[in-house]
Amino acid sequence: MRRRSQHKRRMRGMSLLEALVSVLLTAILGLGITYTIARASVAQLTTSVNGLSVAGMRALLQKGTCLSTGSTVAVGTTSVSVACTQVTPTYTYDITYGGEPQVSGVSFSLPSINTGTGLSTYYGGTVTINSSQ
Amino acid sequence: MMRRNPSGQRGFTMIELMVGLVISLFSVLAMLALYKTAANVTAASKLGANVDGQIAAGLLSADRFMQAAGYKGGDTTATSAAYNTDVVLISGASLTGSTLSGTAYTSTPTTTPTSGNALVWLYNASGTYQLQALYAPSTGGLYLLTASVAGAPPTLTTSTTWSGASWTSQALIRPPAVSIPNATSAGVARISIYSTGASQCLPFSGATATTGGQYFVSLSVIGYAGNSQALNAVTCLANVAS
Repeated sequence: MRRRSQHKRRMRGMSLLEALVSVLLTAILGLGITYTIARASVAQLTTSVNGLSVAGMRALLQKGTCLSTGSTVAVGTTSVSVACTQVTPTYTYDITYGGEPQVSGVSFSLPSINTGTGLSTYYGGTVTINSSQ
Repeated sequence: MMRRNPSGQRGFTMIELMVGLVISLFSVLAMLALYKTAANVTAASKLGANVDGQIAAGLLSADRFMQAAGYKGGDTTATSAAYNTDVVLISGASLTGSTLSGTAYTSTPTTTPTSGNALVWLYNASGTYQLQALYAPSTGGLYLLTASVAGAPPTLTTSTTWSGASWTSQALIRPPAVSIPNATSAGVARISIYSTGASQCLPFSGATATTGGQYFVSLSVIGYAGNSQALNAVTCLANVAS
């Protein structure tokens, strides 16, 4: 008689509590996966924003108008104001061709460009292209 | 009469099992949908990152190649380079085999950009003239074309100089192998040329020079990041005077 009731108790199947614990564990796993995907998306966004900004600033530097007029760089639908400053030192170059000096002592300086505080949340700071570095 | 299990085991009833199955089915379907979305996003991002990387590197390479346009250090008797004779923009260009065809833009470019899809130039670095071109087919991508050229010195004013040349092609930017959803134009490039106006240009805004180039070339390529934003690169053709 006693043996039989012990056997009965052991074979009762899963309780509601056990089911809930398994649901909870699955939920924690799901949260972990969601967090990982979210982190990857944010990293990708940061990379994209940086890439777009650097390409835009490089084009502005080549165009040569940012020192006089200042300008903006488009990042998606957002415009970021960028600031250009003249960098010291001044560089000097000579050109010789076939041993003959063609041009000598031409001095020039190059500008630096940065994003200031615009979109600094995405950049994690300021993005600068500095020709003196 | 209810049949008793001799061992006293009860387990789940068929109804309980079926309800459990239905609930699990919904849960599995939801997880599959999540997986499908994540897989799609990952695949598109991978293609997009690839094309964006190629654009960034390709634009830098194109800039370096274009700086040779009109350079004639290898020809001691040469006159300074000019638009039409040493550099020319082609619209409606297409490369069939090794033949480049299209319509040359022969007017002198103004400060308003003129667009095309190929730019051909001559340069002479070591005694012999070479032909180079950037070619942006309408299907996407940016290619560097090279060819040898006869004539002393050759001129692009004669259109057979470039249309009769045997070109070899090298990809600077390859369009994505499959079309990216929501970014179907990614990798499509456009080439524009415009005059600097009264002033002259030097690479990277080098200031206070007395002489420089008269033209800017702007390359615009549609990328993946920023919702198919066009990436621009501007190159000063420092050797081309007028």
